[in-house]
Amino acid sequence: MSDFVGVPARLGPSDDPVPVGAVLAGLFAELDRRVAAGLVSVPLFEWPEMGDIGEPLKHIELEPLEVPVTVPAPEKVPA
Amino acid sequence: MSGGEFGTGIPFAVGSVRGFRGWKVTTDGWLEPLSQSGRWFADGNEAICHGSPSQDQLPYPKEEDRDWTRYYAQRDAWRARHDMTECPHGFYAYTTAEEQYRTSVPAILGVIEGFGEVTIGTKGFRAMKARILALCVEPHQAMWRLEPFFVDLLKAHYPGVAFFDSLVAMRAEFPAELSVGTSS
Repeated sequence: MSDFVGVPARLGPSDDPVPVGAVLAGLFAELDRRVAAGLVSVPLFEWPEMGDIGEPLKHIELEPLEVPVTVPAPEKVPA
Repeated sequence: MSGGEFGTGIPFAVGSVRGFRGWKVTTDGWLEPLSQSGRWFADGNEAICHGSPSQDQLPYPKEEDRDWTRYYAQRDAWRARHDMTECPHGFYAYTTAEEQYRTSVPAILGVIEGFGEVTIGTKGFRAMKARILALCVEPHQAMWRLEPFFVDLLKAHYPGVAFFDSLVAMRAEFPAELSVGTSS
């Protein structure tokens, strides 16, 4: 089922001006109805909670442990 | 060892913390913070404070004075000497990966290693220094699938970083880690 909410063809200049506000209100009402009926999925776009690292536990100076580079032993060549 | 490095009073330990965070991606294949300016690099990153002291610590110049040059010099000096307990600066990373996908801009999720001056919390940490360990190019609700040539561009800009096309795989190999020991 298409979830596209169409625009009435009468929008535009005419002898009988279209109340744009009422048209938009109708479109949004139709969208709300379809969302409520589960016909349209509305993705949740929201900013993450920036800065929320929770309750502070520790304030510390860290020096990373450098992983030593190991050189593999050369393969023995059979005689 | 006591007194911290150079007698700062901050406990010192060997190790690092690890957490998840997101970046926005520029059209030329670089990573930038989601809500701040700047660029992340492959060989290490150091945070810069853009905050300002409170009015109690450094009040604005009076209207009749208007010596903003002196104010800015004092503010810059405060930025250079204050620690993380006085200001929320630093690179942020979190213990949960999925929540970082809830952004309104295309974002790539990855794992960073945090060190230097670090504040550890129950949900993550913020660190003055960080290194990118892994990036995930899996599509999600805020980012479509990246073209292969673009992923190659990211790999060229971030050599040494592990790339994953699955969040599950990245999280399995690079789980969040907040526990660090303290020196005696």
